Amino acid sequence: MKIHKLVVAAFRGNTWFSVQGIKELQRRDLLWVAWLAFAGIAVVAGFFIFYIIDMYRNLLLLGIQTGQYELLFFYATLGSWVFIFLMGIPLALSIMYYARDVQLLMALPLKPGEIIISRVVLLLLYCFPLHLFLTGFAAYVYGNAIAYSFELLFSACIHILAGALFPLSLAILFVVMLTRIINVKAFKTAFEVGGMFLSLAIIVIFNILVSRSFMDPDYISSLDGITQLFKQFMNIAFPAEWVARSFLPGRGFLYLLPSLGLYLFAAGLMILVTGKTYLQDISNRIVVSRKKTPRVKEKTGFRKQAVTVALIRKELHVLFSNSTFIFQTIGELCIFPILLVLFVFILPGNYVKELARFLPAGQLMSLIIFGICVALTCLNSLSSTSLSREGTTFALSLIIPVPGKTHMISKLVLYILFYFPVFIIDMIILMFFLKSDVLSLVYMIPGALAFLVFAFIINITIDLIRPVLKWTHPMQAVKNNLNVLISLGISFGYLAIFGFSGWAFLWFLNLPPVLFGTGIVLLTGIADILLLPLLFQFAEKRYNGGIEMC
Amino acid sequence: MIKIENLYRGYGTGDKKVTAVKDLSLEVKKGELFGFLGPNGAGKTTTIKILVGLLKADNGKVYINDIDISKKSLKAKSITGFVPEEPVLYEKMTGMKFFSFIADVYNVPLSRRKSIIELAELFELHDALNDPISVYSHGMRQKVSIISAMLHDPEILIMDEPIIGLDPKASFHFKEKLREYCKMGKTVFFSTHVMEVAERLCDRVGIINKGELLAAAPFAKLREIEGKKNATLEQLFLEMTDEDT
Repeated sequence: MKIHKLVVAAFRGNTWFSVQGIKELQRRDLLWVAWLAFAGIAVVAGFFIFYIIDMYRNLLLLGIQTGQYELLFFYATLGSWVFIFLMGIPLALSIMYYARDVQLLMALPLKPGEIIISRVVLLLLYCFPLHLFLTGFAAYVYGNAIAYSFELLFSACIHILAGALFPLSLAILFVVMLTRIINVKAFKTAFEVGGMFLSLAIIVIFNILVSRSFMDPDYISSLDGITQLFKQFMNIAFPAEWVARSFLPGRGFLYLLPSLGLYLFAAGLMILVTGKTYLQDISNRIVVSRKKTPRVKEKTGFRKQAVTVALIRKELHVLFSNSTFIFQTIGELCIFPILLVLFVFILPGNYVKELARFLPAGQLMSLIIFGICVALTCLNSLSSTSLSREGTTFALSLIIPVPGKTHMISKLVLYILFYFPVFIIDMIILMFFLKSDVLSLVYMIPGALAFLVFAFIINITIDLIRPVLKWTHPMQAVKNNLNVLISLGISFGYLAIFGFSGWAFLWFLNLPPVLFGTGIVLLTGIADILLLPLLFQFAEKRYNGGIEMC
Repeated sequence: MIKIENLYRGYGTGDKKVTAVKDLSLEVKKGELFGFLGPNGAGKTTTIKILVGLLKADNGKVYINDIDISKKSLKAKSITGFVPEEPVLYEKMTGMKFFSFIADVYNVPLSRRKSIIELAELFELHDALNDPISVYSHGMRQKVSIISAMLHDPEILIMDEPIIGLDPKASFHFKEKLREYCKMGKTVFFSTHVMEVAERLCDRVGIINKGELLAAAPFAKLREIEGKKNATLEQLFLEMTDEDT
């Protein structure tokens, strides 16, 4: 009973997912935020379902062709375990070890076991949607394509309800071990970012394995090899094979028992180990233990910097202050190289070279490449969330005697430092694969700068108008920030206008593409020169009483 | 010198509008140590936030050393130091890096930057300067906030509950420092709930309730006005702010 109350209290106290939460949003006229979030979740879930069903169908087909009917369940189980394990590490750190309410619970008359189990239940609830998606849809795809047997439905119920316990227990045990070996707090951000990138890498590898198997021209002849490969893989990850086989009719129940035993063993071990160490670990964490660092000598640290440089360094500190900002920024910066690597692996052999034969070449290709690079680098959230990311520390930006113009210049310099090299790298990669005209670089390189400045002006203006400074989780400042959506919409708008005018220019006037490229770069440059002073004026107003910190 | 003229500030709109500061006029002279007292929600923090530029007044004027903050806010900010109620700091920076950042943006010359060490030693923060602020205790963060407000040797020091969280030794040094500041002709304006501190330290105290300034006078004068020669500041404060008495 107490555990139920603890779980409900943690949910109500820390999230908006409660009747009170919704009422509070209603009171603050912010109910639309809940609807928007709901719509966003529905869209993402829709895409995810579509993607996963398609991938599971391919896996089932591959399993049928290789005579390994359990292949679909094997991958679904393994996928779910890996993701929950990776997700479970930062989750366990934040919910079990760094949640603010843990200290409150420790002061209440509660048994350690009650606190631990309530935290584990919370973790299970957080992981449940992902586990349900990955395991539930495997059962759905299999049942629809072959048959819904009793074993399938029974096993699906058991595994959906209890399956997440195994990877989650391992994740908690891993965290317990980590807290004993290293100062976890010092590496918390690194763990979170590492986990996010590892998850992304696994999605990519998973996708590659399935897609490439089908696109390979020697696919049928390589079936024997694939069968052997899967067998070896299953031998290594044999617990996942037990779970996979338990879904199949016939001898499924024989495998269900060891699977259940595995879950219970892992959970039992986790509760035993955690029960012995948890409260002590929390107490140790509460006692602030700072390492003895060398004393600052009078002459060190006294290096004078220009205000703009100091502000750029501050921007970097904010950007790298938590894993959400880091992941968002690095993800956006590296999106094109990631996509390219993905395609190179997915597409067989000389596919790209063959594709290039059907595409235009020379000046027109250079113009297309320029357009792609502009789209890739201008559609980002770095500047449209620049003020929002500062959160409550934005008060410092308002207090210090620095003009709005200087704030803008420092943010612009950082933006250029981040995105100009990326623009050039993206351009080089594309020009390497596609037949383009090197002379077009004359307008492409200054054009990169002109478009980056233009995108910056548009995006930062949105954040200057409505910065999201009151957030409790960094996600609210970036991913859930409406400014990102608005800026993307506007950027799509002007990119479409440029694209359409380019098409009209080339199609109707039949003029050389280099002329259009140079013209559009010149126009953008002029727009930058005209708009930058206006941005500085606007920033001056906003930094001088226009934005308030209540 | 701080001069506030007919200051108004409200929150919300329409029927939900609440007036936080109502027709507040006040002058704090050069070299004066002024204590700003009032119960919770009286309008102290709102007034202070307007003084430092975090909020804009709906009406009225604020002058910092004769500079109209609505017209020349940068100039006013450059001669002001501010300690907020809750320290606002870049958590991932070390104490030293944070002070360097503040020194850079206030253009503190290299020759004067040794005051970082002096102030850190005074507040016993010296050993922690190379640690990230995220590992600091609340008291240490408050010390960082105070040092960064004093770093550029401001003409005007504005503070919102600066003593909360300070250990007795730091609190003593801090009060000494404030006295020293005022002797140098600088102006100190701070809010506090600690009546003993206000009674002993301040040249003058202002009492605000429900957005209105009830009185602004030296402690002895307040006693005279209220006709209670032996009353403590706490007693006077309670009487003035309690509607029933």
